[in-house]
Amino acid sequence: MDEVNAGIAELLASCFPFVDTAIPGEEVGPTKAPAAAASHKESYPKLPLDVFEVILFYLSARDLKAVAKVCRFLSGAVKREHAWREAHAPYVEHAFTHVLTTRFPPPKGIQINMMPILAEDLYHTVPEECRGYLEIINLCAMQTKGVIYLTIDEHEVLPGEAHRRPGLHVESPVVRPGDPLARIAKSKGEEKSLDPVFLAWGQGMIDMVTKKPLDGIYFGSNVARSSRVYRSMVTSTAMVGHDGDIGSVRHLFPRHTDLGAGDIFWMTDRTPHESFHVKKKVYRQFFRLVTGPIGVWFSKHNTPNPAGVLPNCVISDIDKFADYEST
Amino acid sequence: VDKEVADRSVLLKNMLEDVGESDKPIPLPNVTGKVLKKVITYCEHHRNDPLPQPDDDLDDTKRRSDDIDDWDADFIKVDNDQLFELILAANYMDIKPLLDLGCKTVANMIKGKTPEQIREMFNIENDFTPEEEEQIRKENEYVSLPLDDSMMLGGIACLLYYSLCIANQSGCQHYHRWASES
Repeated sequence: MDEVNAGIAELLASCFPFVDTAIPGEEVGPTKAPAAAASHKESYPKLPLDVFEVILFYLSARDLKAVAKVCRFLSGAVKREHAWREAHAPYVEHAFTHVLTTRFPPPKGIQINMMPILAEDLYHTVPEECRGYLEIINLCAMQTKGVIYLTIDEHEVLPGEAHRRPGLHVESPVVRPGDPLARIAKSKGEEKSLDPVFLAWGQGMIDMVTKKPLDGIYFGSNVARSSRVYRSMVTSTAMVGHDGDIGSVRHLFPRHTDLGAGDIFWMTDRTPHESFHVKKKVYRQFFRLVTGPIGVWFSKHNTPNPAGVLPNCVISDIDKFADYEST
Repeated sequence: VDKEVADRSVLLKNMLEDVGESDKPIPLPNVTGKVLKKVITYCEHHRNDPLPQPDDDLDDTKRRSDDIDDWDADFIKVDNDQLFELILAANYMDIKPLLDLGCKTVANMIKGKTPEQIREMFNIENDFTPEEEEQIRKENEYVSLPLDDSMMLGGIACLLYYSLCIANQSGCQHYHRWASES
């Protein structure tokens, strides 16, 4: 009988190694307990869970969702990370909006950048060569008065090149102590120590009563899927690198829309957006109208108006690229 | 090890300040010799970097994910066990840049993984009750429909897409824009 019991115990042990297969009444041998213990999985996490609080900084919204389902501690940590993102890079329904879809005028090789024009007198202040865009400008500037800034850039783009600035960025640059632009930002009120500040580049908000955009930036091109805009806004200066660059925190902005051919969108100056490298040779026409206040107008990069309209802000002779590199 | 190199670790810096000038060895019971060697290599390479300030914890720049330089990227190419040990050592010795480097690397490993794969990777126990699990699922997923409903929605989506294609061809690009939103 003992032999039969021993046989059954052996068989059970081979099938169910985690189950105690000792026959009732039988004394457990000294070698069985350690063998069972060794078969159990090590129960400590390979990393202390509080280290994950830092790891979460670098995860996209999709990956945060997965981590939230791992265990209680990480679920709480993900909630805290969401709260931080909501405060510093919030999802904003009105970060951009589609305004119209149009057919661009026949191209003429126009190259103007941030040319000041008068919203109340477009006909006399928009140069002759740009009159093809007058209807679009008029529709975008309907709510605006005073000086606004027109950019039209028409040229051939080769495969692998971006027509406009590639990489995720916002239009509003951040000025830090020691930057060539710090003096301009300082004159706006800060006297002693200057914390980093956003310099206005059109600003922009949606009037919650009329649901219409106030100030801000209108932009679009004739090439589909060559620009992308994100439904978020950047509120933290620390995230923003040189000239509005936010490529290193791309994972904080989950939702985006690609512009179609002829789409004109409105956005704020803190809405993340980017221009893509094109896959094949195209002739791209880019249109932008900045209808809100700007902090500085760069004489070396921007185009003066032949009709004599002056920017209504500080005019700087700084070379944005060379002068920043040397500081 | 030079004091300049040791100062990269806030733990060692504080200990050295406490004991003053002394030749006595400083015990680091939680770090193995092999890992310590690797940590010293890191600290020697970064000996001239500015030391992190106490208020850097509040600095939003910590969220930057793509600022790993080539040397660091090469340094952190180790197997998972060694990576975890390096993170533990950086955490214990309070070397923030090394901890961040390790955490960015682990974040890259997590990308695209399911909750179960993450548990497996880090040996984390699922401690949710079934009710909590259901709650978390609801919080993190927008819709979960039975198969029949999903199929019906799929059919509607196909019809909608077909309509959009026709609309697009006839010049109504407003709809095309709406459809392209992700």
